Amino acid sequence: MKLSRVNTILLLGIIFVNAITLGLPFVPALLFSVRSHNGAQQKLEHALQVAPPAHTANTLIMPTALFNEPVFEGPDARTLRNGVWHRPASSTPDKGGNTVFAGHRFTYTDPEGSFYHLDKLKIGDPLGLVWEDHLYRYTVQQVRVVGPNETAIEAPTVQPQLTLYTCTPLTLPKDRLVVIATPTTTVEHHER
Amino acid sequence: MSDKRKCYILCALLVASIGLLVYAYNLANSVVISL
Repeated sequence: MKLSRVNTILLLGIIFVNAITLGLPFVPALLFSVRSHNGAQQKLEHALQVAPPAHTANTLIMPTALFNEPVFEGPDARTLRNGVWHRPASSTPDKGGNTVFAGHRFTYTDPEGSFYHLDKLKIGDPLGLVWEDHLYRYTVQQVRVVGPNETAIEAPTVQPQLTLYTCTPLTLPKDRLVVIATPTTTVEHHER
Repeated sequence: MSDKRKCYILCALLVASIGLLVYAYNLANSVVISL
């Protein structure tokens, strides 16, 4: 094979590899814009209007972020590989206080991390948490960025609240994006 | 620049690019808030 041809192949390889490295973080954003035109948000908003079926797994529903996934319990951060992690030291919706969930924003092994689209949430957006066969509805009250050592966001609270956080910005994350929501209503499950 | 010299440079760039990608894949960004 001629050396100039080898050089062309090497150049294409360099372009391909760097396109993956630089482009992969933005692929979920492109897919989101496609999915958001398919009525996915309306379906999730509808899911917040009806009682969950009995024996539903504990699930977080964020219509604005097109998110409807189970949440996971675990003793350490390895649980994040499964999805949204319920911080073990935090409360639960049935007990009141501060219920805290963390999730990855972006990793190359899972480009669309659980909380990739957490930045889409705005004040006033509805959220839902199916917990022990009850649907807890929340409304977003705060969206803010804090430092990585801001442990106050996980501190117990007197009033019940839901705290969600992930890394920010998307590339070279150094801070944490925090969403705080307060409960509105609770709905019990219905039998099938 | 000769084709041979170009080939060496492109090989080095490709290896560096793959190295960067492998590094990015293994990068464990800590999500959790901690002191």
